[in-house]
Amino acid sequence: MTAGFFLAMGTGALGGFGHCLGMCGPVVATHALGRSSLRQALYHLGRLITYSALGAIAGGLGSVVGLAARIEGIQNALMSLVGVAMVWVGFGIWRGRSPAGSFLEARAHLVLGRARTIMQLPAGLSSLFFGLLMGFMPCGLVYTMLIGASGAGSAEAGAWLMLGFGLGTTPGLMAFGMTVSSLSGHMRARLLKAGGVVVAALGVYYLYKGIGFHAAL
Amino acid sequence: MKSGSLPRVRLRALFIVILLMPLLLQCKGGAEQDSAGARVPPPASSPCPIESGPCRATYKGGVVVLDISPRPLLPMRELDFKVTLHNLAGSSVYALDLSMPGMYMGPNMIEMRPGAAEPWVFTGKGVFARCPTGGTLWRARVMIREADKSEGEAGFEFEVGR
Repeated sequence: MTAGFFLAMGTGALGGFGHCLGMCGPVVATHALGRSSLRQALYHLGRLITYSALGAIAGGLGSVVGLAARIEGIQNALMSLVGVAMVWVGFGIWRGRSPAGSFLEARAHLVLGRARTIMQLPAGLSSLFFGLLMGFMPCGLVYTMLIGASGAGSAEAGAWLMLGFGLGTTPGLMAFGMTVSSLSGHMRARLLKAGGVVVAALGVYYLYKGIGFHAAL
Repeated sequence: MKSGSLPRVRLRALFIVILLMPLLLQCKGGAEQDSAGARVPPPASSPCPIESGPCRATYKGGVVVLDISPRPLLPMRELDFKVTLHNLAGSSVYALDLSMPGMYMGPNMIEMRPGAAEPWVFTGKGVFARCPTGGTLWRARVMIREADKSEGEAGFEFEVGR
């Protein structure tokens, strides 16, 4: 553990209450609806594992350019899938379905598919798995940190740097998720409907960004 | 109005604001920050059409020239950064700080080294991160150390492709 770890953690903490809410807030909010703090923590643990792995690869390669090119397609596809899932969840909530169940069902159907059936993941581990996937979400701040990890000198140093960054982002995102979760517990039907429309609208936005229409317009 | 309806409306408004808050924090607008998160004033001339040639800025009676290659400038590509100092004898460039106006993108500092044959020319390699929300405006702060060890900076803003 080096000074880079703590510097990265500070960067994550600084970004966690601003930048990260901008990109990951809707996903965190959608996942947090009706879920326990433990499930939310498992989601963030998954994200940290992915960040560390990416940091190790970037640090080992000594360059982020090749890594970025390889994962760009995965990231765009993931963002599109998340967008579709959020539209699904949003309309599910609007129609009065359980927000906690509908998103997992949609996600399992779209992303995990048969793999989940084979692996028979317990419910808590599905949050961990979701976090592992969401660690690949395209994010400018993550890209910058991977640039730093590529110059860390080794795979181990790159992994530590990205782990520190991820840990730094966690308090802000956890607080956000728990706030949304606590609100959802007291919601009534009309409140859920309003939230469902917002989640669906954000899903359309994610889909729009994931497909990359903005590049052509 | 029924009793209890006002708290319900407030709760609904709060929930919607929380969910929409992320959209208000995207790459466009917001606070002006450098890569360390500190607030900084915008550079005098912005944005510079760096795709068509080097950018210039005046600094304490001298001129600082920034050039980046290869063009077109794209994110997540290793680029060569070159800073040339004119009429700034004794000054040196030790780093280049890349950031996005209006969005905190984390620390992205490029170490700059003087050329052996041309000590007023400084070069380094760096990468622009990609902003997934489509932001393309970047800021480069040239960090200058003067002969008396005091430090200053020259700022540039320019567009980087997607």
